[in-house]
Amino acid sequence: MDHCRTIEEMLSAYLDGELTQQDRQRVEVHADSCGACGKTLAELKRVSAGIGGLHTPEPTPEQWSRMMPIVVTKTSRGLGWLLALIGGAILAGYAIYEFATDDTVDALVKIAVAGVVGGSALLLLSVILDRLRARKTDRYKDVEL
Amino acid sequence: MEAEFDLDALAERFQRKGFALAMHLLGNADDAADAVQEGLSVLWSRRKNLRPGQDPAAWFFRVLRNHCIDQLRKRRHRGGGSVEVEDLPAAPADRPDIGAERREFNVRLFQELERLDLPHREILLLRDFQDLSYSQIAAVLGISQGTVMSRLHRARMLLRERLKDFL
Repeated sequence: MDHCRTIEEMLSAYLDGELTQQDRQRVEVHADSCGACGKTLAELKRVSAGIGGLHTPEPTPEQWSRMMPIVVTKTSRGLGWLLALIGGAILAGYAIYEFATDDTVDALVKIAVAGVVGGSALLLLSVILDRLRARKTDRYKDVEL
Repeated sequence: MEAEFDLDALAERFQRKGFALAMHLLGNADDAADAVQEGLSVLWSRRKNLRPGQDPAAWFFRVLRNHCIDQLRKRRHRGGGSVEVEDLPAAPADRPDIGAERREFNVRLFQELERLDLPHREILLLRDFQDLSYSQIAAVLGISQGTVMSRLHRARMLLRERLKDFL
């Protein structure tokens, strides 16, 4: 009976071809002579084959296109960001200079505008920092098998 | 190895298999398609982390499976149900080559499979439905090969017990 239990625990691995040659032979010899274990082996085989033959509906054309991976081209995205940042910095610098040296604008207005622009820039900076922090905790970043 | 990382080849290799597994885990075709997209996107973006000769299948299925589990957790939080058995027929009705008895067995097998808890259900699907080896399953689930062997056997024995009348 104890022998049956030991063999029974190996039946699935036997079916899957995951046993050593020695264990494989042990299972075969025992299953040939033990009706109960032989029956269990046949039933497990049927269960396994049944799962393998289960049907899955065919995806619709929309689902096929939905499955296409999102590919990020890092080089072009990086270059795009660089160009946009350089252009934005030049424009911002020019606008600040023109605004600061414009004598027709009241000083109080200049202070208010500086507050709005400065506050917005700080908010943007905090969002960017949050995103950078989130990237460090990306769950798939260091996935290794 | 480079040819293996052709995007179209990856999609060709994993889309159908991934969709089938995600359908059986999630029971919803749109969610399954999204899970495959997630798996392929992560595999593609992290392809340089794979060591030479390493099979990307375990990685793909690991990401896909984790995404499916996340979706199931979100559903539970939202109070949604689990997989609807009716959404996923065990055998297509228009196949004359499948006899009534086998069809009945397939339907019952499918119902009992869906009633298993997730650890048992997913290991059966990875082995018997996706034909992954024990070492690949161990990598997908993050467990030892010994645990794969014992858990898979327990799962099959459970199903066998519940399907006794049909075997």
